[in-house]
Amino acid sequence: MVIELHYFNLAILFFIVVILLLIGFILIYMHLRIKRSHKLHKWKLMANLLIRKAIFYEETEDDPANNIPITSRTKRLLLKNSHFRKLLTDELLNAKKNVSGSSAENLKHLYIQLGLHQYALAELKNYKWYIKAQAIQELSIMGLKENLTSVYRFTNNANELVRMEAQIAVVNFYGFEGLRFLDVISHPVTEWQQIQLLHELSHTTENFSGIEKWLKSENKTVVAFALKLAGNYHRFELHDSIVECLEDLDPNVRLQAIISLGEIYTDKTSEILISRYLIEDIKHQMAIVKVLQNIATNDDIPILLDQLNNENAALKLMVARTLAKIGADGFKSLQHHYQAQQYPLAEIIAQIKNELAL
Amino acid sequence: MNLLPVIIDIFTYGILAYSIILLLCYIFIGIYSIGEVNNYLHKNSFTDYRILAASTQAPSISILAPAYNEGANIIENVRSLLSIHYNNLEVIIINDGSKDDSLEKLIKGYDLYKVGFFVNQQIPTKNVRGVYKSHNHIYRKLIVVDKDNGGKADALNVGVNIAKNDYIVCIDVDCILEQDALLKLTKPFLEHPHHRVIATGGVIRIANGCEIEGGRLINVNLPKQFLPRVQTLEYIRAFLLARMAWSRLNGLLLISGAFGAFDKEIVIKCGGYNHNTVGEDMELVVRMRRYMKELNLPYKVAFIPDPLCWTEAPETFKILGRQRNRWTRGTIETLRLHKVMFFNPRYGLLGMISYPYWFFFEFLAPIVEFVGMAGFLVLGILGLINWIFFVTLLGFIFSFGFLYSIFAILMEVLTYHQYKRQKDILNLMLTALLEPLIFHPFVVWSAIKGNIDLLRKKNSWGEMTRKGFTTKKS
Repeated sequence: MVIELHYFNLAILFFIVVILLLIGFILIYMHLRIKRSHKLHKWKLMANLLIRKAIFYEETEDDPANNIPITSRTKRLLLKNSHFRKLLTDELLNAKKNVSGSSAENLKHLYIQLGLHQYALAELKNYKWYIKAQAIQELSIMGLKENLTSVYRFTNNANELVRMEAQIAVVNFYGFEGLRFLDVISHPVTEWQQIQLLHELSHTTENFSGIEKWLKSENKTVVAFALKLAGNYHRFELHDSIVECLEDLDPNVRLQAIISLGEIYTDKTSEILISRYLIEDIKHQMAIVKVLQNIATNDDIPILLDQLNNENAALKLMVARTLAKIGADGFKSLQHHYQAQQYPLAEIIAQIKNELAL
Repeated sequence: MNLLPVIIDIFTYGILAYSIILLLCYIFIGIYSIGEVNNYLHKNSFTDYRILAASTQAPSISILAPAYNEGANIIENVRSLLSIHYNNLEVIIINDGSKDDSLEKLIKGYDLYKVGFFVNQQIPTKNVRGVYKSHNHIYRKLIVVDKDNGGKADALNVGVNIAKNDYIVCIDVDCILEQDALLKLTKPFLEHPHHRVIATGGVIRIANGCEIEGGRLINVNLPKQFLPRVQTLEYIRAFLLARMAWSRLNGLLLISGAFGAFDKEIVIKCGGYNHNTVGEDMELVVRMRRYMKELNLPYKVAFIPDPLCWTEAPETFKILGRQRNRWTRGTIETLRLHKVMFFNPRYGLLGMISYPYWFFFEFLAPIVEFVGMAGFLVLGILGLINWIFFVTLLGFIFSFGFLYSIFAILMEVLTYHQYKRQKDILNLMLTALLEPLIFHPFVVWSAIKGNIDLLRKKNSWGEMTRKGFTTKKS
């Protein structure tokens, strides 16, 4: 066992050396961090002072370039200290997100005046994805539309985050017009990305086109997003194209089509959905019945009453709720159903009554 | 031929080989977790969670909080849950037949009345006595369910039956959530178009010693008492290193019962929580994974390294012993229920790596350690083993354990940096040094007792008395 002991002693020695190195590193790192936090605090005050000055800055005739006065200390720090530059950029971005109008324009002006956009443009060429994505986000928040070409080429980038930030940027720059990347995108547009894009689009009010093309995209996530757009923006002219999506093989597309039809229904929609209901799985059936809560009429009562015989209790509850929401006739027919006094329908009706009373 | 030296050699080298493999696993976990944490932090820096909070497209969530004899703090705890800012949310409190005045306090505190409610028994549960809602519109998100006592798993199953939303978030009612916790937990469900995310979990941290006000965490402090402090270190190691590494491998078997989100449809299809085990949180995740694997459906169990939820750790050996005893029984029961997966290639990584790891290094580790230590001591006393060898081997294991803890502290400092004072970090390091001498032997002993209790078919939860959080004085 002599050999083994020798190896073990060496291993213990190695572990101890690494432990000491790590402890030393942690303590030095924390010390530097505490020291830097004092400095950061001072820098933050400087940055906020400059930002405040920019927000309330008013043009004067004395300075045709309309430059915001910057102290020589700030200029010096900007040139030589990347930490300060980062902090000032972050503070500027935060401020820009929270202001609008001339104040926002002033902040953009300050950003360019300080030359911070040059750093962002240089970072677009960085090989690290998060630096690239950060730079795109920066240009987007600052509204530097003139850099659209540099940003647009990233909208179909292999890296998810770079792609997402580029897509958000072009939509931020050009509203619905910016969505043209959907024509060619080969990567999926995740649900999260769709939420972010819809959020960006909520700031714009102009009309837009292209949905029809996206509804026929090979990329199923693009189709789902187009369906959301059609529903959210009440594009009634797309009703028939959306109905076609009910036949799609992708279950998510079908589900989204059902939900969207609930937003842009015509007098034929309930009939179309009910015919689809019979061949769908339970998840889609539930979605159809839920949509029918807003669009079904007295004509649909008989078929809905039939569905009360379905064995799935969750579906039964949904059907009962839909019947009640059709109106007095629907609720009356529900109460007169032959199972109305039996479990579970009796309890379902009690719940519906309670919901209606709220 | 004398067989004794051969047996001793087999025993010694067996323990040695086991220890080295375990150490290698830890090294792999430590290194492998770095990339995942790093990647997450970079990704997260771009996320504006306000967008998700306000979006009508955000997934609908039902929070399920079982409560048993929580009368002392139930009003504040529920208020904390109701203050969560999220668009599509309902909060379901399940009073699991409390013997105290929890329900009365809730009825009075939130102006509740009994409503006609259809409980869809998709998962069989104990009797539901009533469902309550508030007259006050401010509390429209709140549903209180009163049921016969059936344990945590049964209470959660009632919650699943009642929940109307697509995702359920199971939480211990006395947990303190971070501001964005729910949003962070929800986001992974939206990020994987090619995989169905069936569950997500986040980091649980120890709240002992922290300042809490109105159900919100005001100040993070390192616990002053040794036991909670050593558990703080243990949680950092487990959540920041182990779970992140397993998440990167997509082999995570456990989402903490204190705070986790699940796809309700899959939970129901799997039959909900198993009330025959005390490890219902782990068992559900394993069953859901198994279900997806058996149907050959692409899926993912996501885990995020953000500290999302703060919980009170046991402060006495008595309570800690009960908790670890229960965790051991839960692990064994889960492994036993799903033994078909053991080295079964049909289950891929789940059967070939995750399950065997849990079997060999979570279930067997305390047994091997106990037997090894006892064996070496006996051999030493009988003069059959070289004491120098024994001490060296112990030193080897001890120094590696300390190194692993220091590495976890380093990761914590470089990432979330919750404990900002140098004194606290030094204190954690000292705790790491003492852990193998005081805490670890006790945990091993509790695990052995868990094994024995399981053999004796003891399946109680063991009472968990909580002291309550430190509230900021005004």
